[in-house]
Formats: sequence, structure tokens, C-alpha cells
Amino acid sequence: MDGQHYMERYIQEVVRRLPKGQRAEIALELQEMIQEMLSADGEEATVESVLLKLGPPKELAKKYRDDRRYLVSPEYFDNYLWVLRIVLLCVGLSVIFSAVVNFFLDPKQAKEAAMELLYLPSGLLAAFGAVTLLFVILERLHVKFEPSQSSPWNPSQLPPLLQKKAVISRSDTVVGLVFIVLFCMLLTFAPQVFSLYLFSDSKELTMIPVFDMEHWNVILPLILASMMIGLVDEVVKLVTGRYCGAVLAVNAVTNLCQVMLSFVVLKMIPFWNPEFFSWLRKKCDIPDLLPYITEEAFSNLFLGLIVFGTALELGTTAYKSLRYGKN
Amino acid sequence: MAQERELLSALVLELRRGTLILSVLSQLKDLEYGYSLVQKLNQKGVAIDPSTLYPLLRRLEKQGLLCSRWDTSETKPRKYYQRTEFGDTVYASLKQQWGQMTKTMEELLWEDK
Repeated sequence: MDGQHYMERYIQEVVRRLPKGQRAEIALELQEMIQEMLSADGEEATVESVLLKLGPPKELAKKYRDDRRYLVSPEYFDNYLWVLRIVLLCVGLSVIFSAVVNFFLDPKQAKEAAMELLYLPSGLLAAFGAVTLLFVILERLHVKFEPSQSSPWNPSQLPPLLQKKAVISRSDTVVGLVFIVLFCMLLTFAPQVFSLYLFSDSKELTMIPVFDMEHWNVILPLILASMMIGLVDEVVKLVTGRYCGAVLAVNAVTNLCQVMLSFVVLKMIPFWNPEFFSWLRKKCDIPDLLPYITEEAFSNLFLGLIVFGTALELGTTAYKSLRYGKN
Repeated sequence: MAQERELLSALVLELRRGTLILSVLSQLKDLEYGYSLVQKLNQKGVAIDPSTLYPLLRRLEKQGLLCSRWDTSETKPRKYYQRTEFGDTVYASLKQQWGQMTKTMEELLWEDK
């Protein structure tokens, strides 16, 4: 009686770990197995000795199971990592940007903005969980990832050997990208940051914006357009990773557009705040400088600097691309 | 020393695992039930225990290589397995493959004598 009881308990323990549909039949099989082993072992055989031979129910159940004992298979792992990296980057960056923007929107709420960064760990964790869950499901549904190339790989597709000097540093371009985005955020959400901060005798703060805020709805889009064009240049550099014909071409075109836009912004539309200049002229102690403190003079100066900077960048890019970019 | 012995055991296990399915298939031309198969294989030198064979038989049936039926006429109900037609074809091909492989292995392993 005892032996029978042991056998039933053992079988119960094994089959409860198996899919419902298979339980009845496997229970029968196990009964057959154990009884055969009993009769085969002869006189000394007890149910306990047979069960000992069979091992823990958990192990036996494992042998009957053929399901996957993992979340993401090796087949899907590369895609999984790739998507994970992108999503985590986006989530992380947006949380940080959001905190930065809120800080600039209201510097007095600096503490609240900093508190936003506390969302970073939980946000990243949630993103990780969501991507993992997505891939667990995709794999179980046998969704196939199509190879992105239309033709199979062959050696002619290999990129040329990189000369050290031809390489465009990835971190440099990313920094450039981040600066452009931050600068645009600032211009859009907190243009008053670009002002003159004056403390009067009574400790009162007045701000004189540098830009002509009345026409800001015309100025801002043009500046943003110029920044976006610069963004395209950085992205191309990031994607290709080295100086070459494509980088040179894109660089030339973007720089040209930026110069043209700068010309429009600085010379063709009201850009400077007249108050700013009247204040400057008032404060200027050197009479000889006075004729140079005009909106026109400043615009010319800025434009000159922009053209000079652009020519310099274009020149370096051209040199590097032509010298190191062609193999 | 223990590590070396462990490695050797693991490698031997790999070898055995590779031949297990073929040896099981070879004995299933006629109807056999789980335990008799265990005994037969053990007698012929193939080390296998019931907890490995029974699940394996299920898997092979799922793959279409074997068919089964329960015999409930005796006091002890038994599940009998046998190769299907598909199983026969596969077995014949595997046997051929094995023949070629052993020939190659013999040459590789005993060429120095």
C-alpha cells in the first residue's frame, strides 16, 4: 500500500509540471515504467529504490518537456540587443532633455527639474522590460526578421580600409548633435536667456533681450531651420564615420545653406533688439567706438564671423576628404 | 585531475548522445514497448535508462518517426512503439550516413596504426 502511495505521489509531482493535455497519458506511461522496473529488479525491489533510480520528479519532468527554457533565443538576440540599445538611448535622452528644458523654462524650479532625473532608472527599467517582453512574444509567434540586404553578402561590399586620419570621431559628432539640439531647445523654450541681465541700485533685475523679441516668430523658424540643416551634416558624418566624397558634398551644401540663412536672418529681417543697442551706446565710454555700435555693424561682424568659420570648416573637410577619403 | 575526468565524461556523453537516436530506431522495426527496449539496448551494449528512453520515444513519435498504441488487454497496460514508413526511410538514410562516417573515422583514427 505504501509503495503504491509513493508511486502515485511521484507521478503526481512529475505530471503537474507538464502541459495539461499530456498529463493523463504520461501518468500512464510512468506507471508502466515504474511497474516494469519493479518486476525487473526482482525480490529486493521496492518502489523507493525504483523512484531513487528515476531521480527527482523535477528532473524527470524536464526530460519530458520540450519547451524553451529561455526568454530570447540566440536567433533573435542580435536584433533584440540592437532594439534595446536604441530604445534605452531614446528614453534616457528624453528624460534628461525634459529635465533640462523644464529647468530653463523656470530656473526657480531647479529642484523640481532635478527631481525629474529620478525618473531615469525606473524609465530605463520599464523600457528594458517592454522591449524584452516584445521579443519574448515575437519569438513565440515565430515572427521572422527579414535580412535588410536584398542581395547576399560578398567581399566587394567591404568598406575601404580606414586611415586613422580619415576617421570622423563618433563622440565628436554626437557632442555636436547634442549641442545643436540643446541650443534649439533653448532658443525655442527660453529665448530670454539670451539677454543682458542688469541689476539696478535697488537690486531689481531687468532683462534686455539681445534679439528682437517682437519679430521672434519670424526669426526663430529661420534660426531653427539653419540648425536643422547643421544637424543633417552631423548625422551624415555620424553614419559614414569617415571623410569621403559624400561627407564633403553634404558639408558644402549644408554650410552654403546655413550661410544664406544667416544672411537672411542678420541682414534682411529685424534681428537685434533696438533697446539693447541704445543701452550699449549709453554705456559706451569711448566716443570713437560709437559709430560701430549699430545694428548693421554688428550684423556685418556676425556674418563675417559665420562666413569665416564656415570657410574654415569647409576647407578642412575638403582637405581631409580629398587627401584621406579616396583610396 | 577531477577536471580532466569530468571533461572526458562529458566528451564520451556527447559521443553516446549522437548515436542514441539511431540505436533506438534500429530496434523498432517491430512493435516494442518501453521497458523491453531498455533491456534489449542494455544487453546489446547501449547504455540507456528508462527515464531517458521513454521521453525520447514520445519525441520521436511527435516527429513522425514512430507510431504507438496502448495495449490494455493485459493486467499491465503497455504502450507499444514501432517505426512508421517515414521512420523506415529516415532510418535507412541515417544508416547509410553512419556507414560513410564510420569509414571516414576509421581512416582518420587508425591511419597511424
